[in-house]
Amino acid sequence: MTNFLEVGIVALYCLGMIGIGAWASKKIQTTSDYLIAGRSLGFWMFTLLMFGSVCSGMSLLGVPGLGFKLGWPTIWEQLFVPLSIGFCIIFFGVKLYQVAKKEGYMTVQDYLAERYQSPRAVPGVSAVAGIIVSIIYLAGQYTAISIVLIWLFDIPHWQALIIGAVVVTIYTVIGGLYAISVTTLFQAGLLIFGVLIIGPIVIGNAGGFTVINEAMSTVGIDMVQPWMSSGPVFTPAYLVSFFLLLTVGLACAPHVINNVIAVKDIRYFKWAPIVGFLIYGAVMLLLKISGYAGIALQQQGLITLPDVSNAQDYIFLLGVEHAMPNIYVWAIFGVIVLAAVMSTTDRLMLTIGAMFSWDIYKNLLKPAARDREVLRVSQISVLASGIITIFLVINPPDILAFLIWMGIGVMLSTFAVPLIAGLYWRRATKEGALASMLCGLIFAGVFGYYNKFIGPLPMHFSFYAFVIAIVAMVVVSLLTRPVSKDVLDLTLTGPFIYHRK
Amino acid sequence: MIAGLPELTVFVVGGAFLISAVFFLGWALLFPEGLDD
Repeated sequence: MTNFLEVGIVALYCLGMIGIGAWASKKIQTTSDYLIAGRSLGFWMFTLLMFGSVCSGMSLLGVPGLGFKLGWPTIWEQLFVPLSIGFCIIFFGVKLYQVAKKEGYMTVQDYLAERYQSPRAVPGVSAVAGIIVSIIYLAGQYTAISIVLIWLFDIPHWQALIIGAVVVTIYTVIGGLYAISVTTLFQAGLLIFGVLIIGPIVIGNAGGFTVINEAMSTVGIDMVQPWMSSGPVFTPAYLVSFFLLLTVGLACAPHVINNVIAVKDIRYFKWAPIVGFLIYGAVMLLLKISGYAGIALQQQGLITLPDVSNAQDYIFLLGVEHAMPNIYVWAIFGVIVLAAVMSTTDRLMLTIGAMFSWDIYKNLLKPAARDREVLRVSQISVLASGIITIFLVINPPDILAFLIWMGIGVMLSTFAVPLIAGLYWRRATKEGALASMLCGLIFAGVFGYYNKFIGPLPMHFSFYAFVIAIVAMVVVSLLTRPVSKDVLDLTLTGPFIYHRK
Repeated sequence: MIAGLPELTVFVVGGAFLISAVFFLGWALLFPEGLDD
């Protein structure tokens, strides 16, 4: 299907992204400019950056795919992920923004260091765990970029991987968060308008909403129910853990939560939750119902699934191909998918750069390092994260797929408890934070392994690790010396979101 | 049935989206001025 104009559309998009990076690089003078865009993000830049950060690489393909396979019980994914934007802003952002601005924090680890009076251990363990989880998550995004370019141009995996990686690495290395926020503005706009136009066409092409639901009910009774009556996933119990995983887990993921520090004005937190929820909710609902439309299209004999193991992930592509049989539309659609993938990839790479250069190099290894030096280390570590991930993904080891699948679960079980306890529970201590992080990390691995290789658990594996992390935090904190009142007041710790003035 | 879906699905899923939107709307309307001062 490759032809000159099709290559041109994708090349134009890639060059545009690099051009934005080059423009943004002129604004970078300090580490603060690079890592948090000099705390200058406006309302739309911030809201769409949150959107782009949670809209992962496989959203456009995986969301309709899961809907096609399991039906309406999977619709909760479309509620819980948009909820994570508002959850992050309201429950983490309001406090973090205020303390970060006053104290000059660059990352959430700076907050944890101050709150737990632990300049090395808590932020160090948190940053190392954050870098490992982010690289694993990044490997999943690079794989998605490769899938899109292979579908579009029929090129080998290694070529697709290097083309995608080079583009996203260049603009992230040279432009930092300025480049990411501007490219995300463009990418999110493309994604939103693309799905708002393409989604209804695919749904209409399948006969409309009612016809699609009637087709689904002939496949199985659970397909049109709000949850599964039995089975390993999407039962009511599983949905409780799924809410925690997606809404809370994504909200405290390093590449999402660090966005709240980069905002220009706290008043943006007033409308950003509902605007983010409505926009992302609408896009995700359309994607999911487009996946349902695939069931009706298949029953009508209008599409045929490819003979591959993850055939359901092709359902939206097939729906688009059938509704709009034009290769230029496919090329534009490919660009939309690339935009969705890249908007998460770039933010993840910068987050890795920030955690290494600021939390590990500047705060742990070389506190006397000058700003210029930290800026260079940031850029080099972003570059290194890109190169390491290429090596991980070019010949993926068997364990990689397992680790990518575990990514968000590990984020929930490792970061959520020290963060929530740090912000809301005055009795939480340094020792409690370390115990909860280590227990969360270890037991996420244990329960994840059990669920995957021994037998399915009734709830998502991260739920059990999350509960153990809470127990570890409470027990160890109560057995150790509390943090001083002055520090707790400075870090706005307590059972409130804000105090009215 | 409503649009080919059981009433339970329509009310549970629709209700959850509606409650979430109302929660965020309430947050916006109650958001205090001068937090950053």
